[in-house]
Amino acid sequence: MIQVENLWKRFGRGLGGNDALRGLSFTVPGGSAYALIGANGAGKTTTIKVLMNILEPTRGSATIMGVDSRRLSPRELAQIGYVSENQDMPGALTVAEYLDYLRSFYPTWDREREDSIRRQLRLPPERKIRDLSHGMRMKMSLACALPFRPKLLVLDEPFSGLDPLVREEFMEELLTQAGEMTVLISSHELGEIDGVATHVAFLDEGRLLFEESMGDLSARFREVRVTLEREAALPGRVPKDWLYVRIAGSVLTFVDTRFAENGLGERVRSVVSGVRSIDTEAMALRSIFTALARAAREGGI
Amino acid sequence: MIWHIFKKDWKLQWKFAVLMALVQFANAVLLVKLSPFQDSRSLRSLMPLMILAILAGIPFLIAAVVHQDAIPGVRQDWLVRPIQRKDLLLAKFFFVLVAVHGPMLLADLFRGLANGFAFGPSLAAAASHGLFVLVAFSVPLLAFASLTRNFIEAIVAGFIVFLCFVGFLFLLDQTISRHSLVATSGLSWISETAQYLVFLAGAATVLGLQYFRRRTIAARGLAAGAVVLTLLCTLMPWNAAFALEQRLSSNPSAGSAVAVSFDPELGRGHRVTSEGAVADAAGIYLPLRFENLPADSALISDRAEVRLREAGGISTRVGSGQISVRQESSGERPSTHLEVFVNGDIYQRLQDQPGQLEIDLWLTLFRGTGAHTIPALGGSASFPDFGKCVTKVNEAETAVRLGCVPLEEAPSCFWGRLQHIPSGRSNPLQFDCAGDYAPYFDELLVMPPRPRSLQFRDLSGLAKFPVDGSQLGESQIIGEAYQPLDHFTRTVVIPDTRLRDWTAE
Repeated sequence: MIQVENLWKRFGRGLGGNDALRGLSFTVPGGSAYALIGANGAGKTTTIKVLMNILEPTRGSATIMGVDSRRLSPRELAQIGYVSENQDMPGALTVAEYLDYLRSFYPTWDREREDSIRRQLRLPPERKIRDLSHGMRMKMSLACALPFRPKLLVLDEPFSGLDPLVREEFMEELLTQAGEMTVLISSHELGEIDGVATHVAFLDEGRLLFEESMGDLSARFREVRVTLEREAALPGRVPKDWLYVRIAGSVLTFVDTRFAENGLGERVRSVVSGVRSIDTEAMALRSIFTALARAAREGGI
Repeated sequence: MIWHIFKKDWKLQWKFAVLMALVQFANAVLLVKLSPFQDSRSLRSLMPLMILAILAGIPFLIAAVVHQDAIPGVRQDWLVRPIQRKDLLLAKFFFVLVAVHGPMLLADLFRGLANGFAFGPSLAAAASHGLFVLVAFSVPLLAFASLTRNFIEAIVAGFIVFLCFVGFLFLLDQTISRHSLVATSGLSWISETAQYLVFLAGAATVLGLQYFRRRTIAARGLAAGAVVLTLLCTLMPWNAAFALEQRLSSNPSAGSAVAVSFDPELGRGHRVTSEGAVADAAGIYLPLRFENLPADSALISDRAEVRLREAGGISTRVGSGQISVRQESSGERPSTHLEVFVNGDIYQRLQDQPGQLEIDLWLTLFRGTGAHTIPALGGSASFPDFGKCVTKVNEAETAVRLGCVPLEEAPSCFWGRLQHIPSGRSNPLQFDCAGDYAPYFDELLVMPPRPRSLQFRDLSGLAKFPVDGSQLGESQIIGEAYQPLDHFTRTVVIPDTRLRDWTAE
């Protein structure tokens, strides 16, 4: 559905310029819910704006539904829903007026679906867009993105600043349609994508640290606790796939990024001797990203 | 989708659009009420407000509709909607046509009809005025607005452009003689047309770049280039512009026999005007005689340059002046003094320097279009070249006022006089001739006509008029407009002379 290859985006020129994207490459499979994760300033929004042809890449290419992002035409845009916290809609129009305006641009717009979404999200039709709260505006943005049954739904920080109740309503509406389309969602809140995303990509300072399916990611990350027979120092050579390696007395802890039930003991014993026991614990997504982010900052990955 | 986008824009801007339509209509009513004599002081005082409202309001309205779907920026919702860029541009253009030019056409049409002109000519004049404003004003504004994302940006950018223009004009005024500029002569339409064409070409390119490529930085650079080029059009070479005007002459050989010569028998001149005089300048008056002018014609100089060639061959520019003469049907060869204000320093240096004065004249010959008459009191008549005219005596009872309302532009060259019909006596003829050779009506705003006054009484009692107030009931105004026929150049040489010899008596 989306193919990004060696994507660069530079803002400004000369020494004052800044590379917001540095050779990004990833693939969003059709039917997936692909999450772009990263801290603020990681390049998530820039990536999405390049994909939507709002910004032009400095180098590299992005293809959406087989079309170069720079050549996205109304035909493709009629199949893409876009929801962003940075979306300026005409504030002087009412909710109903704007939906009415948008309806004609989408050949597949479903009026009943529009009404149902509007009701579900409790959007007041006569309220002017400029009078809507931030949460209501995000819901309005979603209400404008779903009635035409998009093949691709792009959500840029959709939950930013939403209170839990609005977030719940938003998610509920999103999940009712999730199976019909490919979803690309960016967020710096890991909890937001837990249970939604099927794939995840981690961005840091414009670079892609990795992309993977959520299943594989959860399977290969473990928090490992090794109890040694006696107190020991940190091993001199630590495997690259061990992150956040710490030792306290006779207990060695680390995050294993290549976890496999069978080979773990052997791998541990090849690094440290006198192993009494090895305990592993599955990691929450948040913990995985914290470990990855910390490792990235320390140059570990 | 054009109609659909237009409807959305109209929904958002209809109040502003209606307000501007009302302002345009009110301006038309005001022009009708002020025509032809501009008697009402209170109505006259409304004119500047109307002009300001129109000149500021229309750009704001155009900017407002463009900014509804601004081009620069990354947050606009329309960017992610399946909207054809062409449709978006055409929708904005359509809005300008409906909200700005629709009311303008109706207001101009109303003005023509209210002033007593027939529907056809009124509509044609309104359409031609609308087309000019569209090309010279609205389309460039549409392009300019597309370079900015909101009013603040537009105002700041507009102010910068304004400062550039003012700064450039100030610089021009300090460095170049006003008389050598095409822009201050009857040929000004040539440099103005070049400016409009630059505007239009720049605007079309900017709109293309913005709406189809979203290249704001490139488009802003191009717009800045267009502004510079527009300013440079003011410096259009005089000879090139005059040569073009010559090629466009309606009768290119009409002036071939006209001769201009130095006629010392006319003697030294009298200082007749202070126009163009500066504090430290000295006026010289060079006597010139004109021959072979066709009957009922007028001749004016679009430019007259005087230089002094000293014995050693050194040539110094002395100054420039302006002449206009009229050849009556039967009468002697016309003559006049070319009034030239010489810079004080130059005069001090050259006043006693013997040498040869050389006068380069760029001339235009006018032909009378046929005299018209109208009663001096309460007259009302319609003439093809003057428009609808009426007469009345002024408040001080010293002059008959002739007020004419043309459909577009009043003639720039004409004569008129007051004549007592039974006796055939006439007051001195009033001749007013300035060049304006624009082949189209090139004013953004229609201004109220300027009435003419034909004096019959001098309050000081110094002057006596053959036709006085007591005879007005049996008097008429005879007037005639002139049309440009031919443009040509002549050079007059005054040998062995000094500047001091030609100062005013």
